[in-house]
Amino acid sequence: MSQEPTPKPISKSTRYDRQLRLWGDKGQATLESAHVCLINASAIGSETLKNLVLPGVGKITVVDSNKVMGRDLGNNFFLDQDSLGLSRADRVKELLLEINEEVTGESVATDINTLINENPEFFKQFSVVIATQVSEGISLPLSRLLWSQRVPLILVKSYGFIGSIRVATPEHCIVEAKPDNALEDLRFDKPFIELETHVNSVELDKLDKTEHEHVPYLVLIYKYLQKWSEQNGGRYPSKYKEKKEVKELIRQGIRINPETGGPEAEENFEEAMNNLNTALTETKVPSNIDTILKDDNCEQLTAQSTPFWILTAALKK
Amino acid sequence: MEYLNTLCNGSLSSRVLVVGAGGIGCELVKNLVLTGVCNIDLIDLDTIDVSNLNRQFLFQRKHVGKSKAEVAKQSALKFNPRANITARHASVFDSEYNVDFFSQFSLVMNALDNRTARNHVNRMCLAANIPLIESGTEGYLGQITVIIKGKSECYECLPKATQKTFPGCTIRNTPSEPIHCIVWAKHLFAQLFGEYDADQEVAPDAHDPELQVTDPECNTTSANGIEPSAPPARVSTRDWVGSIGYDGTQLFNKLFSEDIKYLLSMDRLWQKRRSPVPLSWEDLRDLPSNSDTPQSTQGLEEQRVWSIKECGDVFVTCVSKLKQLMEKDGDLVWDKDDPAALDFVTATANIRSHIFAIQQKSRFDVKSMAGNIIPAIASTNAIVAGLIVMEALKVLQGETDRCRATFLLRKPSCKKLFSSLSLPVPNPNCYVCSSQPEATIKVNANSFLLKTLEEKVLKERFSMIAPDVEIDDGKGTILISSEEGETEENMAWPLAHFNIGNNDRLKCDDFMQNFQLVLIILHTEEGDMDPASFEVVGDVPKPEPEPSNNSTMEIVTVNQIGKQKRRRADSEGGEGEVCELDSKRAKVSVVSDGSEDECIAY
Repeated sequence: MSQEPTPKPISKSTRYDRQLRLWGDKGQATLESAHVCLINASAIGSETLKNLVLPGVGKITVVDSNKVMGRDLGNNFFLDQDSLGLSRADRVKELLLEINEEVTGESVATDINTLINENPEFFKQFSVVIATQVSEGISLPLSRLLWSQRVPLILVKSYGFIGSIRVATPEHCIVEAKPDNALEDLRFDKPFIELETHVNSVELDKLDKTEHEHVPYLVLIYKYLQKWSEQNGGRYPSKYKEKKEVKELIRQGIRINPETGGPEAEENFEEAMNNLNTALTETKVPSNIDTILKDDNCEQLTAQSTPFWILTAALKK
Repeated sequence: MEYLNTLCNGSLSSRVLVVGAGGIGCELVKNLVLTGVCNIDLIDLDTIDVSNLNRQFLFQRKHVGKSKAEVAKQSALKFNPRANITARHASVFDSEYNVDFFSQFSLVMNALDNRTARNHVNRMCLAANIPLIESGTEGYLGQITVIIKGKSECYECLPKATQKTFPGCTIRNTPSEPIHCIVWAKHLFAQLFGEYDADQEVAPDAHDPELQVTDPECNTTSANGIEPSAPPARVSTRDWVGSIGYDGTQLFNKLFSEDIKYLLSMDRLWQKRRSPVPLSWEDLRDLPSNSDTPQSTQGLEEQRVWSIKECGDVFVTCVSKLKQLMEKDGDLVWDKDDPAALDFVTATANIRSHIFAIQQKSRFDVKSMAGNIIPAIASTNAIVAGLIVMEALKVLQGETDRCRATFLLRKPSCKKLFSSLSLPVPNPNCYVCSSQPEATIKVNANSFLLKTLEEKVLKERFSMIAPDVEIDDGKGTILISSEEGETEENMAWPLAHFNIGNNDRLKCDDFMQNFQLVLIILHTEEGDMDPASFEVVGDVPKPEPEPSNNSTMEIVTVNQIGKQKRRRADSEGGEGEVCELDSKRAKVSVVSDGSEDECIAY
């Protein structure tokens, strides 16, 4: 029989194209550097791993001391007739790896309690442990161990038409690239020199009609803020009533059309009034950031500190 | 083996039809087989592509190029050799799949990625009175609903947001966003290498409404000597390119220098806009080799934005390659997976963007935008397929009263990630499922051609496959016959030629879909009504602009159903459109449409 030539490897960017458009290459890199442990090669466990193997998780380890029985064949797509009597961990691992040759895997046909008691270090290699269909006799010691090792644990149960998922991890760091509803950080109450210089260089009275109606609304807000401040002992408006006064000053700044006697349609002034409240926020460290900066993990670095806390401590300095 | 005997009995032995063997389809077939449903018909016209492998797990690398339906069947049989799966590598639009065919099933489940097919199956299931489970996914979102004639909304009860379209003059004269340039580039592809389509003109548009028809200040003529008030005739564009042997550099100069200079002569357009800057082939030499777009040094090569110089070279290379391909295979249809076609559009769009000072895009992004790519992952499809089977079991057990519509949410609402509603009731004015469907179209009967009625209105807008039209005049005068050639001579005439005018009624029907629709004509002589345009009166006004996810926004070329077979369907990643549920108001607004089956601009 002739040897089939080794097929050319598929370009990952082609294979993963549709998911790269969802989580980008950074997300893909994170997935590919992950090592996931499945405890119990149950149907729900196999399904879960399938959804990680397909997009290219780095490595899987399947832990299951059971042998494949008849009842497993009826509900687990990743077992076949030939698997009967064999190690369930091994068979599921083999069949899962068939769906993505980029992924590597191991099977461990050891009883989970034995592992917890005799080889607790085993779990430190994992990015996350998924334990399916385990009783409390296992979930309690397992969760205690993983918690102390700071390895995230996901407990899954499935029974007929119902099921549950529970995540247990002491800490999870999310760094959002694009937070929703981020407020602009304008620093009007603590203006930087270039801002002040620029705004002061604009003399509203000397502008012609076109120039006046094209002054950026941020400049307008700052100008009228200065005006209010002069009228109020150099303060910065903090109450709602005070902000309304600033708004009124802006409104009064709208030029009058000499022919109609009514206000000119100056969109920039409208924008200034509409955006006033969000522009006049106090410049300070947001409370949620403050909490992080004051956290013990930030105050006291240890040899085990994660990069996140080291960076936060540096930022604080 | 005794476990196999407990499956597939009673209601689970009913015949079911799965339309589509892609992302949702693979998961669904697995679930059905695992659940014990064993008489499954599976239909899909597509073949397996590498980009399917990240989620369509019934397929492996060795299966690339083979029929999805066939391979899905084989993979599923490995799990349960006793399952009775009939795989059909065919189009669901085929006349073979008529009402009698659909009537054989107790349940139909869609796993599609385009609106036209969904509309069609919707009508077939209504005609055959078979419950239909409809679903779609996109990225992390998904939804399913159950369609039961007379009890719940059908797929077409609520108007869906049509794909975003752009006015011709924006594309041809005054682009302001990358997408305008990409659409123009696709049109250029069609003009140079594809089948002719009047809606895909690329030459400057002298009929731009901003110019008030003819611009008295404009007195230049375009490069090929045609008066500005008459747009260059179709024959000249394609033939001119042919006459110069598809010479890349000459074509470059015409499109990016001469035509731009012509646009500049239309002063009015540039009073409030930044003027485009013509670029000739010689000018390219003076441009830097690096891109003028800042970009990170990491990332995939695909995501690098090309310099204009590179774009120029790629343009010329592709014109030559595509010309050869066209000479060999005949008119080309643009395919995002054809490297030369995608390179051509990327280069062309970026050159045009450069000219109009618009941000340029990487090939990766152009592929998303031009190719209607919907991001897709295994887990969302797995969730939705699971939901489908939950509903399927209710249907098969005769408990349709318990059926629900379920939506996956972006963020938890009331601490839930899934929103589940009882099925909405049918829209009494639905032009598909109501007892006497009617719709009114506003046209200029003096100029609106029968051909346009057939193509743009009945086939595209109302998703008929083979319409028959007669005038509701008591005499049953036949206007359009679905039989080949019977009414050919009528097509070039406007409605008025047949004495059709205001308030007249046309009885339109599609025999296969068992779909009858009365079209009421509302004649108008509004000055700026394009002879080929029409408006469906009473349509919900355009929904709010969607979140800027470029990969989902699209509209481009006209595509007839017949072309679907010839071109391998663009079903990658397009498990389809998703409705985002506003749970507070229980109102559904469409987030996107994965449809690669585009409709007319305007």
